[in-house]
Amino acid sequence: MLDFFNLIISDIKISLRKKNESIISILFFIFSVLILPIIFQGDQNILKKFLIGIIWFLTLLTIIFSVEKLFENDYEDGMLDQIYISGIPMETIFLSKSLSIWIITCLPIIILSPLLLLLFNLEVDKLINIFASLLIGTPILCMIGAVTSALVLGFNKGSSVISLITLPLYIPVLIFGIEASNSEIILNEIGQEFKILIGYLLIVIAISPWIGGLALKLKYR
Amino acid sequence: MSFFEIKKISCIRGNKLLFKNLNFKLNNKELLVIKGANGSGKTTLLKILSGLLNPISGSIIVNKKNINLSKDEYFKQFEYIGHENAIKSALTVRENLNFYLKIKKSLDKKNFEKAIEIFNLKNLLDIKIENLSSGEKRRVSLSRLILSNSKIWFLDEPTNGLDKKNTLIFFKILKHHLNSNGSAIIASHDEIKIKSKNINLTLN
Repeated sequence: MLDFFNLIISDIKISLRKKNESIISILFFIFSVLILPIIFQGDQNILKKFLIGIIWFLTLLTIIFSVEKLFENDYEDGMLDQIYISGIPMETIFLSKSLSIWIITCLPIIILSPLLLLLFNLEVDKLINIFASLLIGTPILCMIGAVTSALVLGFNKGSSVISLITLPLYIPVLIFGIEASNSEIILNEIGQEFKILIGYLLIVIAISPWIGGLALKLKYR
Repeated sequence: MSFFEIKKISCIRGNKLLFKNLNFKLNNKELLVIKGANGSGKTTLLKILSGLLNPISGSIIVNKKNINLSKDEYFKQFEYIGHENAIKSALTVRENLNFYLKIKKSLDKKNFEKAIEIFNLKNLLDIKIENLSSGEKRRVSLSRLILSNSKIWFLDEPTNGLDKKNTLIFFKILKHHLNSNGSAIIASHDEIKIKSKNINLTLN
């Protein structure tokens, strides 16, 4: 457990030092949201109709760009070899990397999204829904992305094919994430869409460390 | 009986046969130097010996045990310094060494000051790796050998980037390691100039 936290702390520290790389994905997200009124030529009705879908799509793009080379730096500079030799299970390495990229990339998006959407006069209910659905949905996106990144590690050819194969796994998150964000808040009851998202999250948490860990172990065969 | 024994190891990378039915034994206080041209498989052999890669056939027996039966146990017995320095450029020298002390149970915190002193890293401790020269980076990487109490060292081109003075320091600690009942396997283009029981292995 201590190793798990040591790896996360180290990753976050590195990410904070490499400010340019960590901030660029967040800036991409913020600027993309802020230029939406220009794209929709100020038409508030159309903008509000598509806003939540666009937020989810931009979140997905930001995550895909961020996790693409999640393990590559460590693999190329020999650090992954050393972590492997240190006896830390690959599943732990996978989980720590997924959690650190979620903290670095997704947590700012989850916090910023409702604030940015305040600019578009969205109802408070919807802002809470977006916050909650992103909180549940983004870890799923991160872990699917991390599995893809582990699978393509060390591949020169065929990496884009593997990325395409895993792309459909993101779609249910987008569908139910958007549905959950648009759903009505019923007091004391969690909406159906949220339940599906939570279910998907639990499945991904249970399965992805094994697949990701196995993919990383294959590099040492 | 030798504590480290390689039996009929063969390896193919891509479509290229790197070596076939390789055998050798290593005892305490012995140094094995792997030589060969670029692409001859020196790094691959070192990775196989350290358990980072699997050969297509053959076995590695350490202390009468096949390493594949208990890799985690085997990993605790050696220190591996690869071709890459395996240090994080955004972190300082101190942070990198502390990171290793936290994750590698075979490293000893008590040796921290000694490692810093031997490789003259005191003035570099709080400098980020990205601001160091390649020789300084190699010294940071090699300082892990002092932190380690491992009996076996696997080193890939350890003197790469080192100046004459630091190369001599490295030879000195290598000799001390061998005299202390340790053993080492080194892949190197450079000549390893120390008086010890050397075995040379040249890959074609």
